[in-house]
Amino acid sequence: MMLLSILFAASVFVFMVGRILASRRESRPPDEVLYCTGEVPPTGKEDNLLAFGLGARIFSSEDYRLVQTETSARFGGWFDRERKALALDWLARVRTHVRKIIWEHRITAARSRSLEPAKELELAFQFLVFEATGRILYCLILIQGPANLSTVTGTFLAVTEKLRNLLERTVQTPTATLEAVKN
Amino acid sequence: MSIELRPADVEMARQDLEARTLAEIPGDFARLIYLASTRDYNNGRYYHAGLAHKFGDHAAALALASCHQDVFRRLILRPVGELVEQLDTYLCSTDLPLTDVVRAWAQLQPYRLAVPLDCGTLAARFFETNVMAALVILRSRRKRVDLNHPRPALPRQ
Repeated sequence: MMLLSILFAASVFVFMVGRILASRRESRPPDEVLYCTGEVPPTGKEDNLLAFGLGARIFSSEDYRLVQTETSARFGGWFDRERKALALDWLARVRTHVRKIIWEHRITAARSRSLEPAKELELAFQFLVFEATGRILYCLILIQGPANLSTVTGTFLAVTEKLRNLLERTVQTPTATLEAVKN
Repeated sequence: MSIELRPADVEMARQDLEARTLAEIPGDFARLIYLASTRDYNNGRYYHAGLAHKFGDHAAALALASCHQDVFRRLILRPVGELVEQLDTYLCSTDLPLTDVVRAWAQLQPYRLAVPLDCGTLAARFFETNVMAALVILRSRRKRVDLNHPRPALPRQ
């Protein structure tokens, strides 16, 4: 019983520490305060800009090759870390967008009288694939950085695109969030 | 009395700006710096005397903001290699010693102010990383050129 209590207390402690560390990691670096844009909540324009191939550019290996060959190892390391942070940020934003759409759709679907179970099942399956691909991509970025991940990123983008098309067919009224994920 | 803004006015102002001003500026990087310089950093509003006189303050401001966003978008979607060339073109046009400009830019980071107001933090940070990389690459290329072709020493007087 005593051992169980200690284990429980230890797990609570680890969980709390994890939460604190996670919240610290999510906080903005101080130099970002310099951007006047940093304090403005994300707008539709930002989301559209995200969609304009920025993801593909972050994962492009062309830039890495150039930086590695033409700059010092120290700068190359800094560049890698920056791109890794950017890739994780981009991935988190895309996943948040899609989750928000699915959440909105869930609320709408719960009230809907003309629900099509086949379509809903397909949507649920596609969302699971999206989540799985997103998690795999997240782990790979953490392990090796965004360079040389064009295949996995391509798969993730293809899955996202498929989910978006499916949502367009399923969701009758396009929401602002769905519009943002377009392109 | 308020003057109604017509989308056609903004489009005409945009076309005028592109044809008469931006076309004369070499490279998108220089265009970005120019467009950012037309913005008041205190309130984020754009102003261009010629355009405002022709199309009105509001239409001119919207045209400038729209061009600024377009140029920024084009720039962030370009590989770092192309950005190096753009930066080289811009820095050469300043007629200042490149090493001095590169050093000042690396320390002061004025390009942070060239970012459009509503581009988003991710795009802004991506741009900043790319410009930093382009600066370092440009500096190392210049160093290599200087080592291979050293300038003749000035005669002592």
